[in-house]
Amino acid sequence: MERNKLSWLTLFIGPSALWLLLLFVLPMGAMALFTFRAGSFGAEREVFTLEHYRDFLSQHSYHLLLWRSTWMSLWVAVLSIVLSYPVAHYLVFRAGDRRILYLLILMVPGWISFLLRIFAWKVILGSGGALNSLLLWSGLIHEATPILLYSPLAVVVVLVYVWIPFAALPIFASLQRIDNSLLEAAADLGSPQWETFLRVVLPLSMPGVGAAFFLVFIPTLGEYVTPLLVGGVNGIMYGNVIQSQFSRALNWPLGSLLSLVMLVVVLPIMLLFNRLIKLEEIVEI
Amino acid sequence: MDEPNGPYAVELRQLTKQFPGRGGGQPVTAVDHVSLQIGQGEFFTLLGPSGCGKTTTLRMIAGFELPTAGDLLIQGRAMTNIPPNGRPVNTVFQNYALFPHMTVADNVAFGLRVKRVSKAEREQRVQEALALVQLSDLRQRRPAQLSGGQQQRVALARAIVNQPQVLLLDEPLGALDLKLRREMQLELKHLQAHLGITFIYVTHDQEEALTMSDRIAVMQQGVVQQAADPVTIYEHPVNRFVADFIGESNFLAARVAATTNGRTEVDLLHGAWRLPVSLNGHGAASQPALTITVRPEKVLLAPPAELLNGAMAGSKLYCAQGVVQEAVYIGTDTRYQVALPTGESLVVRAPNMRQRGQDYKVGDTVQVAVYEEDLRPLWG
Ligand SMILES: Nc1ncnc2c1ncn2[C@@H]1O[C@H](COP(=O)(O)OP(=O)(O)OP(=O)(O)O)[C@@H](O)[C@H]1O
Ligand SMILES: [Mg+2]
Repeated sequence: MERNKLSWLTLFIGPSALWLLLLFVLPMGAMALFTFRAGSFGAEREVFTLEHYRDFLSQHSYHLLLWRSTWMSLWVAVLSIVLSYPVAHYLVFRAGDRRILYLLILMVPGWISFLLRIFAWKVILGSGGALNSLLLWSGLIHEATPILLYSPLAVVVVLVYVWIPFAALPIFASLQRIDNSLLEAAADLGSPQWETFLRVVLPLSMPGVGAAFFLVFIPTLGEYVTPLLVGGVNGIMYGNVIQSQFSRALNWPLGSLLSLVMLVVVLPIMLLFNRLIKLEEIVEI
Repeated sequence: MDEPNGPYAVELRQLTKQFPGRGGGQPVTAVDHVSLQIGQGEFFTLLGPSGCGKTTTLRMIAGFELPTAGDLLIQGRAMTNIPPNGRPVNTVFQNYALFPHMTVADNVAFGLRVKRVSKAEREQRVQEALALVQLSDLRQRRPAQLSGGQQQRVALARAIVNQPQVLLLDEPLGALDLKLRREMQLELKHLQAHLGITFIYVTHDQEEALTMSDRIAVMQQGVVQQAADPVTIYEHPVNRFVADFIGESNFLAARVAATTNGRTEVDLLHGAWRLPVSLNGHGAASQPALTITVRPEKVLLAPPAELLNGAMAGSKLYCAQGVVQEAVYIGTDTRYQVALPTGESLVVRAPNMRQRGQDYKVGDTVQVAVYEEDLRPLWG
């Protein structure tokens, strides 16, 4: 009886456990192990040391960069949500039968190459670009300057632009799940529309907002292409350092350590956010 | 307009709702020129089969649907341009529509919060409402942690805590099992009497309607067929639909046989029974055919000799001989199907007063009898 139960359990959980082990736990373990190796290749690779940990702890610039990147990612995530929420809300509550069509249209820019879209932003933000011409023409500035380009702000603007459709998806899904009778019940109890939004719609869409947050925040923290292209010297992010450890400095152990640190930073933020919006409490319904 | 005792709680004047047909199809008339006057403190029920327009009528009163034509007055005030949140009514939704992210207490407090009722008063009223529906112990639970019956009570408390003038209930007991439904029917009835609020109650369960209501409006395809108190609805249905929908009925074809000195007589069972009927404004000449209806429990099975001999003075007894075709034992009664020699058959419900085993079997020949006043004419 007991054995039987166990084998059923293995049957059901087995495949996903194996999947997790192969694609998640093993690579993470390998990465963690790598942080202790002295070097990337040859004999050095077999020597174990805490040298990189000392390195990381003494290098103040790493901490600063990580701190700034976390901030930028938070901004990108929050702005993407703030800008995509009204879109999702409109699609669910106003667009009627056309909502799926509009949602598809929202996704269309995503079919164009990522690089191409970033270059388009360079054209907009750059010194010969549309924004500059506009400002020059309006007389607000007198000399073409790459006002926005090559700054952390440029990175944030471009990333927010890229993420909006993706942030809209989970919010759309969670709004879609709200039963219309709840909105009617609120109106029936005397609530005006804005108050129904604050008391009923917004809280019930929080799982979608949470999902959107992580969908944007986590990849943005590891982002290195956008900062490389539009960030300039001040706009580089933590991901750029990791990338250079692997590709240029060929210091895989340090690169692994930097990645591990990023993971350690993300986890508490996730837990905190989870707590804040009480994800599981709402999902339980 | 002023009624003798102030305005009606709710008044519908030729209220009509048409939905556009899907994909360019025919428009659907869900509610068709409905006129009703619902008095203060009345327990009024909208009864009818699925799709007859009960919910649509209720939703127009609540303000979720705009009428295509006609007027709606609540407490004498026209409601045409007033949104749901401005109407002095509250609704108990069929699926309860409780806010899943709020506790029981917060659900109940919702209406008071949006009306900015002070915290002290709010808490007191929430407590009272929860006590009234016996849910004080569960105030910190969430809807997902409640049984269906408990959720139903929360929905009720959430509505009545606002002290609405009219409470709208759309099949509030539809999702409950039979026993719980019976209990809640009584509780609702008591609550209504206790609070004195006008209830407009939607159901498709005729037994529920008869038990609970002061008055019932029977609807079919968006039209009110009859609006009256339960006894009138059951004893004097105005047409075949009402007679058929409420309880069980026998229908016997009849035709006008003679009209003499203002008295009309009709023949039924091919002339075996001749029955005087009152015309009620129906022209016998224009309506030569009509239906006579009789309730199964009003048909007497093998009446004792003294009845047949006319012991009940003043009322004529109509008799016929028949053969039992079906006998179904249903506890308190036995339901017989009796075939008459004229080809018709009568459903008879006889109380099981005697020992089981002494009742009639299929194939037995029995005498059936009906009092004159239990044979009711339905015109048209
Ligand atoms: N939003 C709508 N659009 C189109 N037709 C509708 C709409 N709502 C209701 N109807 C139609 O109107 C008619 C009456 O519907 P309604 O929901 O009022 O019936 P009901 O009496 O409440 O039935 P039930 O007992 O099944 O709840 C039905 O034919 C229904 O299909
Ligand atoms: Mg309905």
